[in-house]
Amino acid sequence: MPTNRYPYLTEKIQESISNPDKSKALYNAMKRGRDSRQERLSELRGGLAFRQEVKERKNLCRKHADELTAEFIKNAKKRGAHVFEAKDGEEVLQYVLKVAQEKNAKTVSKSKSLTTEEIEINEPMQEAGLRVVETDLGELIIQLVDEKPYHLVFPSVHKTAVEVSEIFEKETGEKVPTDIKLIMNVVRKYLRPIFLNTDIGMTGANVGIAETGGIVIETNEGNARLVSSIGNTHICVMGREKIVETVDDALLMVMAHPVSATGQMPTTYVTWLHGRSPMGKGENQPRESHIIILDNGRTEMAQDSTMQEALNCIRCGACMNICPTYGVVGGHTFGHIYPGPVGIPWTASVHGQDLAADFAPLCISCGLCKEICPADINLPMMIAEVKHRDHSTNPAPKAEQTMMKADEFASLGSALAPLSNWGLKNPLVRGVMDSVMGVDKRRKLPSFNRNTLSKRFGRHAKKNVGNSKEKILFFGDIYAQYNRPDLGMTAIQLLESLGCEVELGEPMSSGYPYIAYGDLDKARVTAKKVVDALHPWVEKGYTVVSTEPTAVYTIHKSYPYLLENTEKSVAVSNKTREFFNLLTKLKYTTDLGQWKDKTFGFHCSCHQRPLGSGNEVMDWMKSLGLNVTRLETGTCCGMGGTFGMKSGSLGYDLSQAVGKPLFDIFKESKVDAIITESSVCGIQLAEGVGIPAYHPLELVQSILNG
Amino acid sequence: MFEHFKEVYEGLRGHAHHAASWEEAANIVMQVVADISPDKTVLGPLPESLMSDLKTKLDGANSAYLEPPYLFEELPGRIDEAEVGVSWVDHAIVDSGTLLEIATNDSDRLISTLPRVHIGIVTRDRVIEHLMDSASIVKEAVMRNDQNCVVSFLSGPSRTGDIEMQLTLGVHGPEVAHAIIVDEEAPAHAH
Repeated sequence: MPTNRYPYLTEKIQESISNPDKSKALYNAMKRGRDSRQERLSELRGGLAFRQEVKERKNLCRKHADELTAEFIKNAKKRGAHVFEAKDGEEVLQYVLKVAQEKNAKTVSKSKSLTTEEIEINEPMQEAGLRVVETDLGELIIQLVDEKPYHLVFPSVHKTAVEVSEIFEKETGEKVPTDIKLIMNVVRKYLRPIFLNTDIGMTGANVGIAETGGIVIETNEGNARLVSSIGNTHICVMGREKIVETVDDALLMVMAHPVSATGQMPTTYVTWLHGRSPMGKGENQPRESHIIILDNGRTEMAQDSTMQEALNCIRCGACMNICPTYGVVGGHTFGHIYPGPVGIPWTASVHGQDLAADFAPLCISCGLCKEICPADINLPMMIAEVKHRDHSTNPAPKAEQTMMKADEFASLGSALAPLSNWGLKNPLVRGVMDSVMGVDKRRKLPSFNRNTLSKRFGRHAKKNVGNSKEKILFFGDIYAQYNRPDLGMTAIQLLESLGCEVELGEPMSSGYPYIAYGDLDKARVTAKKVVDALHPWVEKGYTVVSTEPTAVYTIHKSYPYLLENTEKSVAVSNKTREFFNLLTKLKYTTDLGQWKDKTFGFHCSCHQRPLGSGNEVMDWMKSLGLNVTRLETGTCCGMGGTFGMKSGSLGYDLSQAVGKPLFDIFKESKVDAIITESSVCGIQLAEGVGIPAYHPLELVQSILNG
Repeated sequence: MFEHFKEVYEGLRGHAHHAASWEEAANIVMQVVADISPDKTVLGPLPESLMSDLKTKLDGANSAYLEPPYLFEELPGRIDEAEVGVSWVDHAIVDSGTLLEIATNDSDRLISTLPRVHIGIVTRDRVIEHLMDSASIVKEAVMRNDQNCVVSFLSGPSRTGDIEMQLTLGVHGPEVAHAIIVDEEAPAHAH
């Protein structure tokens, strides 16, 4: 483990936080990406259905990668292309240098290729005497200052117009204005002779097509059209995972990629390159096409049952656009060469586990990257696996260890209440908790209740036993059990009043912190324990219900994955639902009295998004006459479960920086209160906005309690 | 159909025109040329009647132009001299605002890439509604040309957002893109 891993991240996080202008620019850029995607999706035929189609086709192509690669090579060769399979970057370099030498080439113009970034080919090519020029504007900017891409799609998004003008002033020796349009004129003039006089044009490929032996290149600037047409020699370096079976598959990727990246459909230029065309009239033209298919760890990656799905990545960068912490720290901190969430499994697979583990702690396990991914890649679990592998040699930091034992601390806190609650408010105790346990002393923590949900439930008289319209097993998570048992009981009694028979299982944590901090062994043990406890109820016809979105998400989404889709885990998953989903089904209505005079802002927690985005609770509140509006940035509130409770930069500080834009939206809205079903989001927002945050059940509770 | 294409294409910052005949298409080209007064216009392979009409009109306006064939030895510099490129495109796609160019010679691609202004001309019978229905066109073109073939989707002018995510046109390819849809049938010898 690099000994400075956490100090490095701390320093970088503080650097980002202390530069709000840069963070704001990055935030706006990422938000624009998310919003444009959302806007385009609303017009798209079939909406989000394409994600499953991309996933299925990419899975199929991955399973048949060897056959499809062979077919691609056969068909590309039939068209006269020279095809070379390179096992690593060094082999690519040697091949390219050999071609360059044979052609007596001096200049290589490149269009954007992350695959050549991956193998860092530019520098050794330059050392060998070639002039190598990146022609994608973003890539050119970072090439001129010797940096790595900040974002997959927008490599230089961190540079301002002023900085870019200075970069080109230095490069051209001429005065360059700071007006963006005028900078473009300089760039066009600078690059045009390079395009016209290039010997070798080098591109990547967004897609390779087995059935035709062709490649597809997508750009907005049109540089790949020039790079692939002018130089007499064209060299394409393509990762072997890019090969799909058919033209239809390729078109699917051509649509899915820009829709997810920027909301475009398609990119301005899509070039379906097949064979090497002549240029103008003339016999015996020295026109050649070389296609290098790169492995560089991909075959091994395909054998790794956790990471193999990352090979389905179509490099749209959407996971970066939505990642809450990436949006603050950017791709140089949150990445090695491949940035962002998908950069973690890719770095682990092609650059090394240690490098990936260096920035993996920036992932707060909100799960949004999976939800936005056009190939529905289970990135959160891959990232958890990278953390897990890391912890086999480097124990988790103390704050993470504390958070993974949150259930034990809550149980103890409840048993010791009210003494524990005095401690939570005592600065000295909090100081000790901060330094010894890694719980940030600035974070307001929920108080414990000695009179737990189990105790309360045991004392109350069950209703509708043997005569119910719905049998419910209430999943009493840690918060319901030890912090807000009153709310748990309200939920239970409300269901009983609607004719349900309600049982309360053994109180238990869903174990999500184990996933978040990468203890997958314990996550699996917990998953099995919970599934074993719930399954007999499900068998007897009970529906599992929880008031906490993360609990439902974990049981519904994470357990089947962790337990490899065992029959039991799938059965329990299928019968687990959110409290308000059930309440809507039961058509519950009531008069919410004075609450109708208030205004509310609704916050959907990240784990609630794949469960239905809180639409049911919103509809329910509106149907009861509440004045409620959904307020969101499109990403996380920053809490990230227990992440924002951890002390310091890699916890509280970063969670506040992520949350600030959402706090501002709530403040500007002037709503009276926040509504959210997530207990931890409620803590974060109440603190950040300075107004009360309620679980929607609390409104009902206040009416029921008069 | 045309109105929908125009709406999408103009959303991409392109300029869409409808022409009832080859002659009207030539007039639209001449209007663009008159507005710009380029030193040179470069013509790609065009349907015969349009080519002859256009050449007559350019001659009449005393506007210099280049016409195929272009010799390997003089490329790409010769095409780069022109400020306006006029070329035939094989199809258009309405819902994505796309011109679909099928080229077996890279000089055709240079005409739609190097000049600052590109005018793509397509016949109405070659317009399809949906991007996702274009796979068969691509496949047919690349299979028919079993050695070399480049299919290009051109959806508006060259764009970048690489500086401060601000949309800017014409960084490498055309800054101005025109699409003319003509109510004529595609010539039999066209791709």
